[in-house]
Amino acid sequence: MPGPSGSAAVAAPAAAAAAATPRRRLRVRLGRPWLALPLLAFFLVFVALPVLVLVAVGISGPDGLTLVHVHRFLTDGLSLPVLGRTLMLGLATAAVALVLGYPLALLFVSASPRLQRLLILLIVLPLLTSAVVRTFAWVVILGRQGLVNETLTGLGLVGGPVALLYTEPMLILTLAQIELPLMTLPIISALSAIDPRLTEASAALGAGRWRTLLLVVVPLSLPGVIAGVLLVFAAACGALVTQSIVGGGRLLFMPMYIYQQGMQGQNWPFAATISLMLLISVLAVVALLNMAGRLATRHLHV
Amino acid sequence: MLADAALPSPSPVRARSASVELTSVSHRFGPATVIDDVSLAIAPGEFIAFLGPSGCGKTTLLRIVAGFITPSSGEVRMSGAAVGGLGPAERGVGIVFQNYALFPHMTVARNVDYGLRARGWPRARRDARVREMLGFVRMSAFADRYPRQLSGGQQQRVALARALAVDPSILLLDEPFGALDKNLRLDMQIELERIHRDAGLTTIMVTHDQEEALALADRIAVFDAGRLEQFGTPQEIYDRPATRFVSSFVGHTNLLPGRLLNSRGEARIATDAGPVLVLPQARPCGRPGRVLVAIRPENLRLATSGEASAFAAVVRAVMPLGPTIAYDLALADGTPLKLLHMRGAAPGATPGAQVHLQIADPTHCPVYID
Repeated sequence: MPGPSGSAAVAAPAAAAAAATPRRRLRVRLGRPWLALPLLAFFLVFVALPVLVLVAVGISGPDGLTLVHVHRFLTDGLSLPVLGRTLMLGLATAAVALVLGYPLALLFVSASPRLQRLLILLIVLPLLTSAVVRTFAWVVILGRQGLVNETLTGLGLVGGPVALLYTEPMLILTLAQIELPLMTLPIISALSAIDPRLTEASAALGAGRWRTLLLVVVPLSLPGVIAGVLLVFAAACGALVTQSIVGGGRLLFMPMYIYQQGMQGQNWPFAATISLMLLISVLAVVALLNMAGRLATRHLHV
Repeated sequence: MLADAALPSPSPVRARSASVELTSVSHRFGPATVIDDVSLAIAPGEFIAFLGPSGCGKTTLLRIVAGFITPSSGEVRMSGAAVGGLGPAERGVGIVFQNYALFPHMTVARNVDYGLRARGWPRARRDARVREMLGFVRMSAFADRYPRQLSGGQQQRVALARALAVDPSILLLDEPFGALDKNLRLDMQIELERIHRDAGLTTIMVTHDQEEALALADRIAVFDAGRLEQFGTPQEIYDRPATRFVSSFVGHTNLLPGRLLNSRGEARIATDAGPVLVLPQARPCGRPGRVLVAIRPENLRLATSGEASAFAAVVRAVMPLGPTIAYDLALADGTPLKLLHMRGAAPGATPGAQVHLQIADPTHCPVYID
């Protein structure tokens, strides 16, 4: 997860992990709290401190404290739409990744152990290659002389190249593919935790496959779905490289906006303010999704 | 509860009980044969226990009857019709799983309703049926609870109500009391006995607990290593165990090695430990040669030296077990023997004492080939 929005993305997995907690939560005894000290130190230095710096930079002006940057963010007519589009991008990506990832997770848990080994490799593979490499692979696929356009024109289905690169739908699809493991893995974990006797009981009571899927499997896998949605949402909101390269210059999202304001405009206080706004918004959406998820799965928690 | 129990509640189970016939059923998982040529016939309304140690194939056989597993070979028939290829719902089986497998995200009422909805019953009829079933298992007050808010026994009743709601013609129970503590277990066994009596439903229960099987079942099928060792009434299983495995798995038994001396008339067996035992006849093995004589601890009694066919032993330990007293004895060559008698039924003996033993009922001492 690239640069400026890194702090937003760091906070999200923690919340997501909480949502992914299986039904029987382990109550860890606080026997050896000092074991967590290195993590606490890391968190303070690399998460809490940078956020504090962001706050300090964002509200400091030449004459002491000021809310002028926040005011500008809320009223300049550009920043809020960029934020809104970024959050929508995250949600749309999460939705597409869910549609792609859920059947994949179902396939995985119903596969034989041998097929599972192959599938897990395919599922995890995107995580093992750099986001930059994956992004450029999509450029090759989607470009004017890319795989899709060459095929379409070659078959005579279209007269000339179709605009695919630099469009929002293709950006969403690309991000969904790139972040797919973050969706699939938590769902696999949730599906694997479902007692197979529940689906057998459902079958024995006369329910068909689809009824069992909709009434038993999907509700019981919701904790994994929520975790996956949160992870993909947060990752997609902060995916600077993919957003910039597949989205192109005309589609502006928060990470690039921050980069422009900071690196190109040298307007560090405003860049800090935008970063904070992104952080707060992402956390707010994560909290909302988490809450909705908890309501939906409240009977699963002991 | 007690007032409830006194009232005869009409059974809400209306389905016709099915008969079950297994013919030469075998099943292999890879190279391992888990069910080895099992044939048995169950009459409508019978309560059958599949009894055996873990890994003996009893649960696999239950899953074959349920329709979750297609056996490698052999045939399953229900009420005379072959059911190969049919799923559990089409076979009309109701199943109570070992951990009850209640849907954790549904209330008790919704759990019981589940099968009715799947069958597309109209709303009003479903509601009435759910109320009826919850009343039958005395869980009406818990209709809106979630499974995790219930005790093990309550969960089991709900699982029973859920399985019976759809009018199955066979009820399958997989280790139904395994997860319950001992006191609750007896209550639920009595409850299950009542339900079976009221409903008259063909019931197959898988268990590794011989007392459970002896207490509840009309007939018991004892399995070992995938083979059906014996299929009979509890009394037959206990008093005339067909194999050495059955005699040592069901109840306690002393196995004395020795030689069967004659093939006709009274059987005389020279035990390796010394005493010669005389039995009316040697069964199931009557061929002279190496044999094992099985003597139940309660079939031994302390005797006086003058009695015929008494043999000597030394008391090693005495254990009062409540209503009975157990003796740990040793024959002259050190062969251990267990003896059980009712408290006060015979003069006690103390550790170290020389005693004489006699077989109380020699007709109930099976002889097996060694």
